[in-house]
Amino acid sequence: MTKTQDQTRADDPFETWRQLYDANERAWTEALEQTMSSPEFEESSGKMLETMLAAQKSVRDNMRTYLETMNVPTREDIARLGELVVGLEEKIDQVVDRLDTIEDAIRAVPAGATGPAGPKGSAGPAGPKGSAGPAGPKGSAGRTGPVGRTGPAGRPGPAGKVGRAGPAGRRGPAGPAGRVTTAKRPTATKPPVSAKAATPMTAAKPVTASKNAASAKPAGPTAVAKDIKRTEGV
Amino acid sequence: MAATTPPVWPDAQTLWMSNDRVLEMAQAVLGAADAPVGLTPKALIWRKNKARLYRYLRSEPATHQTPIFLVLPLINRSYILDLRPGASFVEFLLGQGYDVFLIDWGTPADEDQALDITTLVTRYLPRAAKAIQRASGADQMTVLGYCIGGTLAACFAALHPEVTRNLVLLTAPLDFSDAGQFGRMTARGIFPVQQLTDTFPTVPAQLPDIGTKLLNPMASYVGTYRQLYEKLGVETFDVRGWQAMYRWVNDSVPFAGSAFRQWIVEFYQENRLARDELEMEGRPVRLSEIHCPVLNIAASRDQIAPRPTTSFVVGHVSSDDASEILVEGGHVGIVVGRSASQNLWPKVGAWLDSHDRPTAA
Repeated sequence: MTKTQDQTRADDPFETWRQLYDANERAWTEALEQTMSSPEFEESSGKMLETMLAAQKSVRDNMRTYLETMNVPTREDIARLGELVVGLEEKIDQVVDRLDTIEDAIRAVPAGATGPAGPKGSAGPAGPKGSAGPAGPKGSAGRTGPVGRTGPAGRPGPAGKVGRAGPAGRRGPAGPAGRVTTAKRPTATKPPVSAKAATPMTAAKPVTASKNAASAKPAGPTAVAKDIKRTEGV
Repeated sequence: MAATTPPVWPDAQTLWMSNDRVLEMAQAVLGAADAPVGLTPKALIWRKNKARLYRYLRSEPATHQTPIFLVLPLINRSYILDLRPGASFVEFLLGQGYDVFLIDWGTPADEDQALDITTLVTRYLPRAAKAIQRASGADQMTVLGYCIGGTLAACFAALHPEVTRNLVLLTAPLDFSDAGQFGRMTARGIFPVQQLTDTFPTVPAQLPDIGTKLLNPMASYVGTYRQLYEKLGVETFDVRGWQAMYRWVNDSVPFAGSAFRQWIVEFYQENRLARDELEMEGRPVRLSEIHCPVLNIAASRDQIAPRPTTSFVVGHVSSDDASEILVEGGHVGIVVGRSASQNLWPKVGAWLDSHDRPTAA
């Protein structure tokens, strides 16, 4: 015998439950909402939570004491190890950030471009003494040393010895060039992605890249090396 | 005297059929924990601590220039946006031609007690964004945050305007001056947040879960099963779909202690973001620093992020292009389900499409 769906539903005990729920759901919901939105409920639920937390804390403390007595690592001990690993990972991330900054800076400098003027080269050494001129009435002074390529002029060579009187004293030879000092191209830091950028992406507190980016002055390689050394802990 | 009707006891067949339905119901509920979810293929491209950044795989190159960075909430599993084939927002975005990335915060453990929201916004999200830049080749991205993830996304966008081309907020609470039942339950002097985070390094997942369910206890604790019982009698009922959703609802994640304390104190109790008092790593976080196009999506019957918490953003960002979509529904319902795929997703898709072009320099 096959029953119709309506008959089945009418006889179904869960149908009774469903009807009961449908008939009362709205009223129950309203009552619960009203209760839960009252200040009394909020206060009482807060106190219940406090009590539950106090009990939980007591259980945790007792368990910790027990495990410590038994020389067994506690949750806290294991968590501490985990914290160390997480801290190490953060440090590695910071080093990677700095490497990224350096790589970006290198990429940002177009190939073959000259860097800005380097610092003054050191003064060239003094030119040697001019050799004595042939005999003549007066020896001429030795020529001054030439100017270093990027450095300042070499110190003037000393005067040639006064020669004996003769027709014409030969000039002393020129002093050698001052030492050429090659200006190293400074490593410019990468500017922010857009002009709007306040700080670079990885400007977490310990990362000093933001200082570099914010500064208009290009930092030399030494400055970058210093930055790397200044990696702070987490 | 009226004759009383004797009680009608169900006959054996009815009882058997009813019993059968109850067994089906039990199977559906008990089997939900293993329901297949998050099936869209993805590749891990970055990780930090428990957080994972995934890139969803595409068979063809993306047709849109701006990748999408999905920022998920801290207390729920990330597969809500990729629930199952046919009910997946991620799948929809891939179909629209986007390069889609998603950050899954993972499950914090005791060692993450000191992990706070500031750390997530200033150390996790920027590095994840950088990984996206590298993987996609794009300098900027659309940041899309859901629920608490939306709050995090807004903070990130305020701190990093250089990478945020668009900001999309999906039921994201930003103003807590009138945060509804949650606001009252977590009020200062009532909610023992300090004691809670001192006791538990990570706040147990059940606590926020119970709080959420208490917002509508009848529907959460009884209505769900009543609906299931009813639907099991319908031939076209998709049990697997129900199981996937049921699994997500009951698959909450613990909240790292410091993050929870910061969330309750600085956001709920002190409302610092809306009051322009929020600082992260010494830097002010201001919604007024958001200049990119903003799309705010809110749910009309949202009890978790009530309307006053979500309606704030549009009037307080500096963007000339800030708009809102108000959807009829609840906090979760507007994101998944048939109505989402037929109603909300196409609107979001159209907005994203119109904001994909590079912004004027």
